[in-house]
Amino acid sequence: MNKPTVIQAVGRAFSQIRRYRMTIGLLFLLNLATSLTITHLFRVVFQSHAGDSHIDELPGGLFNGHHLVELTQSEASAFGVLTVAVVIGFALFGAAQLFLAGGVAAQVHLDKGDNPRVFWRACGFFFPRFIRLALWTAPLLALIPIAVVSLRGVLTLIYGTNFDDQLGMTAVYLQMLLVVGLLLLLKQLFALARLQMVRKPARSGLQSLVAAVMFCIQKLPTIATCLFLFTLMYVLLGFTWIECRALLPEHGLLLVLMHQVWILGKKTLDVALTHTECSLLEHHAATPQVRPGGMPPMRRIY
Amino acid sequence: MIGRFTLLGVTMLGWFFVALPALTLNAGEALSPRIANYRIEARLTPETRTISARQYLLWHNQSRVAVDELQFHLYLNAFRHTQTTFLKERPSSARPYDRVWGGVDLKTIKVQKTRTGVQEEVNGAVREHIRADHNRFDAPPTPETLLDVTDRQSFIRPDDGNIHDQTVLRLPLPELLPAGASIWVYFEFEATLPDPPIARTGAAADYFFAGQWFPKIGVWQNGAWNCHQFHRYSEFFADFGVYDVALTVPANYHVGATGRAAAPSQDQAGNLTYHFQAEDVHDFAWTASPDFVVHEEDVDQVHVRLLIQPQHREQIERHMVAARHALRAGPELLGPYPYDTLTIVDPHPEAGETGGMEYPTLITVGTKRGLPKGVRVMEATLIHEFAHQYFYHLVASNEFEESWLDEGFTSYAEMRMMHSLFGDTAPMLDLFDLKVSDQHMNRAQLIANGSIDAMAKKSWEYKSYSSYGVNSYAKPALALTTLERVLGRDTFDKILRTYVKQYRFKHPTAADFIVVANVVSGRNFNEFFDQLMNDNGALDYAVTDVRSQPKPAVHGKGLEPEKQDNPVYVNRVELRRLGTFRFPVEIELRFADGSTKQEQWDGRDSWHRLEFESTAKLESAHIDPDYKILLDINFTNNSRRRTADSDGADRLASRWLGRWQWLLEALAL
Ligand SMILES: [Zn+2]
Repeated sequence: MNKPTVIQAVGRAFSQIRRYRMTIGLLFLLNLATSLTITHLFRVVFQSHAGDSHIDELPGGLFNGHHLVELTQSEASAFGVLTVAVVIGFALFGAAQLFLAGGVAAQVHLDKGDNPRVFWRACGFFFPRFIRLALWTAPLLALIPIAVVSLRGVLTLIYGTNFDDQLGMTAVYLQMLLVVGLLLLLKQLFALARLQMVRKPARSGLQSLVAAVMFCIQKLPTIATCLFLFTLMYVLLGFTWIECRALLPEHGLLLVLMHQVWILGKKTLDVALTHTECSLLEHHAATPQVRPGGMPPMRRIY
Repeated sequence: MIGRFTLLGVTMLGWFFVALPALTLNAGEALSPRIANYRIEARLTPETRTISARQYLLWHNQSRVAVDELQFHLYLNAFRHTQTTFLKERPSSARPYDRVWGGVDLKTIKVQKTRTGVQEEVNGAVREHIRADHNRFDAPPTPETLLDVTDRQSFIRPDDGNIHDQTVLRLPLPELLPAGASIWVYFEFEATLPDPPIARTGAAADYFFAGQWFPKIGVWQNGAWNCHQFHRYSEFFADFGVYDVALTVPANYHVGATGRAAAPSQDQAGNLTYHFQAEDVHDFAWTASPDFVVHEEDVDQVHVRLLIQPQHREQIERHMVAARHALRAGPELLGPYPYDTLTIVDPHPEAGETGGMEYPTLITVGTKRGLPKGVRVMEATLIHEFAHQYFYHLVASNEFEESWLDEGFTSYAEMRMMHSLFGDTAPMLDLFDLKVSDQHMNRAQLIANGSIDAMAKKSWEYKSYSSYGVNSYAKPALALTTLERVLGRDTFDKILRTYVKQYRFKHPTAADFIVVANVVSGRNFNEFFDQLMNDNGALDYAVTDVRSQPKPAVHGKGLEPEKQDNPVYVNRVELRRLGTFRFPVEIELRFADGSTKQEQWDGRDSWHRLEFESTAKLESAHIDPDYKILLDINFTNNSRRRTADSDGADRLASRWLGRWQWLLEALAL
């Protein structure tokens, strides 16, 4: 079997994506349900704020500073509760993502399209393992402050101690980019480790993580190209959203509906990325150096 | 004219009053009283952060009272050690403790003799000959001819009795200085600029900003010295005069200062001496650094010098856009800018403390490289500091005692100019959905801290820094905007211009402004200002209930049932005053058929009820529907619908849904 180029893997992922409509739909619904719940709580506060008054007619619309001042003042007590609700909402969303991740990975690994039976069994099977995997990945977050300190050190070497002023906002953006970029990379590392675990469920969380790191090291150009292509696509998606935002209504149902197109696009990209990474892993493992055979049929496990 | 006067001995009272001749100051026609006039020769030694100087002060006693002592501000002494009044009020500024501490060390103080020493007795009273007052600013005496009074100096602490504070110097005069007379006072001193800078002044790396750096005479007012200690929040108060300052700095330094500079001269050591002259100003500040990139431009009649840090070079045009607007919109709003220069200083990054400050014809700003265009803090600061050229620099109210008169009026003018430059929606912050104006920021402050103190207090008497801030900046700015909206912009602008015109080069107080406001508007704002200045109460009017019901038919003996062709509604609206601040309000009533009706309430009682009939059902009531009263701390309760409406909430929610969706995606795999 020929090793596919990244382009081929991406192409194959998009050609297969039609077969994962249920998966995409499910991930989308999770996003929608969580955001609707959080928004509903905010709407209650907005209603208590603006429902009885004409405050929503303030010049400049609902998003100018006057309104922020009014809202934060008159609903100050509600915001404490809202903050807690948002934190809980995000935590539950994260947990649900972790739960569904097993199903998505297992299906994509089988490469046979949506299969509810496999999906839900894999969800249940991998959930506790993914939690352990997540716990193993968490210490890597320490890389972020280390990287920021190193970046500041490098900038100091180049520009001197007042690099903050020499570079101005560029220094701020660089540090922000580093933090966000590292967080996203760690998320991708976790995603790869997850796929490694799904391919060989006997691996522990740590083993999967090590396997993912090894893969990244051995196949750095491949994985880098893959992530670069997908970053481009994500950025393009975000860019079209920002550009189209001006053409869409300021608020209302049409805005909400149109917005879902982009969120669905985002979810499609997510599944396509998983698919691409999965096929890259498969073909990496299927290279002659690795002796095939002798392994139990893993798919039986779930 | 000040000729040969005689002062009758101690027993004789009868002060006489002499009309001052046009002072013998060589430069131009006097716009101001020119009471405190300084000639200073100063030399900067960058290594030690010191300025060695000789200073001649020609001070005129333009009061009707003879003066027996002089008082001076030694502001830099606030940064001598941690026990000064300033640093006790703001201990964090003292750090780091291994800093270069600031201070003014007076080596020599000399004064001119006022009497000739000849006494004679006439009809039992002692008659003494006073020297003829021939003092000319351009001809200072030689130090040798003056009387050394170095030993007579002492420090006083009029505000708090803190024995460690050396920011006010008292200098008893050997002889009484009669009303109308002038006196030369000579100082030799060494000023040390704190490094890192504290509160407006100091040195950092090769950047020097000298503000409040020389012995500065207080204000002789109503027979007493107004010469406060330097406090954490307080600014300044001084008399107008002429400044002639020679500044010697290393040859590679760029210098910016109050006033105009002549071409520099070079000494044998290669140092350059810049000669600055400024008339009718009440302070002199300067900066020096080899790093500055100098941009010069004439904006109409004013020569603008922008001294900017090299790394901020790409923001020269951004600074100039704001400067050009300020120099045009400022005079349009407040009357002519009487000087021909404006120097704008961008402080060194390690000297942020010297940013955002105003001196006559010199302002400091501060920016960050790559600052997004929609974040206009730099522009707001530049425009604010320029507006200070009017409030305190021209209309010289007492910043120690009535900080709102300068900061409040300045903040108001800043708002006006920011709005005319960047539009009404988001002059301050225009980032994606976030649209903020200075008005919003002022209201946020008012709501959070507005009720801690009454507005008019001495600057060190406010409970906290935020209370000083809201009462000096936000509250008066919003009060003035409220007046502007209630009176109409034309009338209000007339008030403002009259006030500036009448009190330029004078020391007005709040009472003076209130008189102008009353006279020009033809209304009485005494109570408004009284509540604002002397009471910490909030202004908050609310609609608490709106009802509208079909009129019930009448029944019973002797009453004819009314014939109703059209339905008639009986309406009731309840209004409440939730704060103690009283202010008349307008009420707009809206009906189901789209019609509206205006009502008035003087706002004096704690509640007010409107009861009336109408042919259309009443839908809502709105106090101050045009949001003229920006002092109202709660706009939400200003209006009330009879039945709740979810339109606003739906609109908000429909936008927030998308935001949450994207945010959640950050966690998605
Ligand atoms: Zn100010």
